[in-house]
Amino acid sequence: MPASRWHCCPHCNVYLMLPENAPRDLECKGCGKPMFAPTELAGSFATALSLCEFDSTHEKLSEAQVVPDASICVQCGMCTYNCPMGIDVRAHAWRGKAIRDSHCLTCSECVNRCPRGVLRFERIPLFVLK
Amino acid sequence: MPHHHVIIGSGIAGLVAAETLRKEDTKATITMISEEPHDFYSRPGLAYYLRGDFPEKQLSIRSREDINAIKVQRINGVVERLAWQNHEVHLSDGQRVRYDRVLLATGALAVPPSFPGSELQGIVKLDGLDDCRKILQLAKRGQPAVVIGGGITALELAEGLNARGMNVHFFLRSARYWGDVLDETESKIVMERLRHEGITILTQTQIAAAVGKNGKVDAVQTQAGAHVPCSVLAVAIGVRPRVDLAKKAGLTINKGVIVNEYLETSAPDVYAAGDVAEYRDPVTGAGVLDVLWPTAIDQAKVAGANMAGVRKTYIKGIPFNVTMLAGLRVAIIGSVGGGSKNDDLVAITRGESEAWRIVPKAWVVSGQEDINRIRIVVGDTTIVGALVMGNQSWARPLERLITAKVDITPIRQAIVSGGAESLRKLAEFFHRWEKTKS
Repeated sequence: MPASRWHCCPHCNVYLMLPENAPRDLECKGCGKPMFAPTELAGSFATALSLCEFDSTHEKLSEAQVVPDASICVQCGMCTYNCPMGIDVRAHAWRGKAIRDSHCLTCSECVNRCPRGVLRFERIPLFVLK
Repeated sequence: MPHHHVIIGSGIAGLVAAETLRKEDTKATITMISEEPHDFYSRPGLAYYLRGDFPEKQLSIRSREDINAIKVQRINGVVERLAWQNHEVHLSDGQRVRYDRVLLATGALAVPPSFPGSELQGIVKLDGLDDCRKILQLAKRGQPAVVIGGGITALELAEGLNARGMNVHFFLRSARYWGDVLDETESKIVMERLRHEGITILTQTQIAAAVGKNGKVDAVQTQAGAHVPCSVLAVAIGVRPRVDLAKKAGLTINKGVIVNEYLETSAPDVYAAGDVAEYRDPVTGAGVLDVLWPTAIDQAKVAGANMAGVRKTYIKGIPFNVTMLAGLRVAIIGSVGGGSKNDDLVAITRGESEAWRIVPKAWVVSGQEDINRIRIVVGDTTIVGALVMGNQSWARPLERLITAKVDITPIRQAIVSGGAESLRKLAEFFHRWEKTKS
């Protein structure tokens, strides 16, 4: 397991827990802009805070976990295949277990791609930036 | 002496039964006999593999360790005879396997086409992984294809071939798609989206014959006399439970193998689960065929437990399935009956329940907002069915109200008056009901 740490999106200020080997072209789970692209704000947490508004979408996403509804899952594997962090979402769905993997970015790839609407976000007080 | 359980079939019912058996009986010997040599895979996932959404290996639903853990001996072969009087199954290669209890999990197969020329090469169905591989081999970019059928599988084939770059002509015998489950607007939405994807839909079109060249399908002749060229002809006119084995053995069958609430068939120590089984309601006596994955799983859990000697009763839920139609998530719950007969299907479509087609004597309410559409079928005092298209946030609450047969008399008038207001009232009602339950 590679070590993980919090990264602040230079565009929108949302925090993502990312492993050291996260792809350099990774997009922010909220605003969709590149996490690691150099911008005038990058590197300055204070500036970022003052210049970017923390919008409701990001707040919601950063406080959510992915929860499956096992009874309608057909184990097609679309979720696992599209997880950028390599989490076996399908295996969680089979057992009806929420994705409590620290590597989960709550990027919503699996939630959006599931053809059957098995996955949804459930709010949890995970990390609040206020 | 440990028990010997034999499972015939390696679909989801077979797998779940094996896993349940192993959990309940750690010492038992479990043998699985199947015609498919493949590792356990997701049959519904084939539609997405066909479309090119992910590679084939993604279909595999169990890791090596999972498979080793259930310690199942697999035999690749065809069971020819079920000699339940001797507690034996006979394979086509002459092998005889003795069992203490046996599970029929043979599933359902596509109804073969009967039009002239149906023996030609290039005519395909979608039952399993081998079919899917064959289709992918045949599918050539820019070439024409014809799809015949009116259910979920036909649509999966049309979209899959289209995604693989073929020019797809989708034949519908009736005026609209899946008319016995979808209402007119829903059919229209799906058809409109298919056309937008580039699929040509020919309504009220029937095949007269497949025309071949050197033993390969080359075109389709319609009954109206049109000549539609195609290098692939995909047929999905329904599936039938594979009851041959049970029939030859003299078991009670209807459309499927009749089972009771313990998933027992009419023969001692013979169980059935999944697409092959037809559960007869002990109260009403009516048999309903569900060709649904979640049903197969539920039944296999109960069958597996009973085979292991743990008495468990199968309680049939309200048929509930979410499927992808033309890129739209569609949940179908309870009886929704689309109001017209579907001539495209000669049997039940895979991923469907017969109960959906029942046209209830009820009011239909629909709320619509873009492609997010909700159709609620209201009976005298309860909600009896619903179809949720697009946004799925209403699917679960509706399923719970339908399953619990909640008396909706206080808001019935508000619901049948329709529109956004009815949904708001229903939401309030649901939240109040949830609170009284907890």
